[in-house]
Amino acid sequence: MLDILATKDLNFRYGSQTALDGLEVEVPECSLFGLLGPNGSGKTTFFKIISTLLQPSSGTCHVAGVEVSKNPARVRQQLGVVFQQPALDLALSVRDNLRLHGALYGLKGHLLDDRITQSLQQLGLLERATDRCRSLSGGLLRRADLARSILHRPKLLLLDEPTNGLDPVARHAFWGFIHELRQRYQITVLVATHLMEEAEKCDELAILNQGKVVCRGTPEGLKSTLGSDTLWITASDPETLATLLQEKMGWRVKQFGKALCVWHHAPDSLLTPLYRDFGASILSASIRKPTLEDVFLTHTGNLFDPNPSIGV
Amino acid sequence: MTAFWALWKREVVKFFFDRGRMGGALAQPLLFWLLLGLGFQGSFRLREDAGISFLTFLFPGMVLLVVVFTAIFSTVSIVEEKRSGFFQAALIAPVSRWWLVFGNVAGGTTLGILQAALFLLFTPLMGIPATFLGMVSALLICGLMGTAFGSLGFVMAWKVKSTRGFLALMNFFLMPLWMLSGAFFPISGIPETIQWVAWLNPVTYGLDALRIAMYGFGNLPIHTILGFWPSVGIFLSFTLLTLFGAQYAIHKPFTD
Repeated sequence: MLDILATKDLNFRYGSQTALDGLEVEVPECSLFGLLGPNGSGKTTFFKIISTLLQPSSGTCHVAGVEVSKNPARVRQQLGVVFQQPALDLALSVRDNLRLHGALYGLKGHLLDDRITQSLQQLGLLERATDRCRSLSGGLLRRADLARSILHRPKLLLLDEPTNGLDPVARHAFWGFIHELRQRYQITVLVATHLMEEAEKCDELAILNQGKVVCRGTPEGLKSTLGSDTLWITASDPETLATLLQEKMGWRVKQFGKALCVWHHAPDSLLTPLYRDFGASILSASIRKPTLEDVFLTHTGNLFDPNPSIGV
Repeated sequence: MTAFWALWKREVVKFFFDRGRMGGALAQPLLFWLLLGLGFQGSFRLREDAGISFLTFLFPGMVLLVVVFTAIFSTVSIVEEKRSGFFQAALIAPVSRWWLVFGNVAGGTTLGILQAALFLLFTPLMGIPATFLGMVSALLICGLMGTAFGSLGFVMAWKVKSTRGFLALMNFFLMPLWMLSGAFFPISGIPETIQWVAWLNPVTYGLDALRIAMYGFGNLPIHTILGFWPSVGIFLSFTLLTLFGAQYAIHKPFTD
């Protein structure tokens, strides 16, 4: 399968600060690809480079085979972007906004009018077409912004934390529309998020930390790297307990905030010795399957042990 | 070209939706003019002693202010929009950024010209001997002024981080430029060092050209530094300079 987006050794520096540090990502055509990373991990910088707003300090970035810094105009034609803040003029109606954006892509006349009506219909906004954007709810505004971003039928759609600030119902509806659009137009979607629920929906994920891809794979594949079950402990003094568990019991322990995570091939066998020896300092202990959040924290979190060897 | 008209239309439509802005753009210069004009009426006497009142003297300067305010205010929204609104999408569209500047500035300028026209209708009432050709020329000069200050506003909006910074910067530039353009007092009557500043001020020549046109190219009650065409020439150069400045600015990434 062809890669619609491919970067090689992509670097970007703001002054002395390194925002992207040899980033390598390949996004296959028609996939839903997730970029998962904490704030400041370089997601937004990466998006700005893809959308030709910033020039990389070094390295290459190809969109549909076109190098972004060599031919930005071609890349822009292929690209739709939903920003963290809707790129709509709140004083204008939904339809006027779409007309304005169509004009920026050189669309006009019947073609533009048909596209607008079609987009509004697909996104369930037809009745609100003449309402000013200011009067729309957050969820509807996002949808209007989505309609805007696909008006020129892009091949690659970038979503930068697209459901930021939406309630769960609106978020669910938004993703419903994304799936519909993907099926209809074979759009490749690259979504930057820090919501695990959204990451779960992706075909493939890359976890970003400090401008690098620290791991990538399918959501299931990533979770399975943490083993089948892990033991989670909350304690009043997690630092001390972690040290004790590592030194006295020889367990593989990592601290996330107040919680400790223990990897073991048979975690249920750990419960008895745990309560017998450390019962007084434990608030709770449970065994569960690893979640994406665990994967995320393992690779990006505030590490107790900076270089844990993960695995069973 | 489609993009140009779309952006132009956006400015114009938004202005008519926004009653507060519409009122403010007209009321502020009008108040300024009435308060200053009537306030200084008694103490003001031109050296040339042409026998015009301060209100009449101030009138062209007020027309200038109407145009400049309107043009600059139509760029203030860009401060926010470049980061969290319409402009972020405009910047990644395949359209040339020249059109983004042109369309935006042309929209604000159009609004400025429309409002100037409204004021110019009253020229004969001021005892100014207006002619049709003079009025048309005056509107064209207003067009240059709108373009120049719209472009300056664009550069400012691109450089500053907040609307507050924009307004502070605007007051810092605009008021002295206006005061020292001969709008508020004749340049011939002020100390020589300040005269130098006025001579270097491009707005002086724009206002001179406007004054000459408003008086129908006939007898002016006060002296201008240069004649009509040289003044227009200087102001046109300034306008082109600001327009290129705006083009230069928009091709650079904005500061966050």
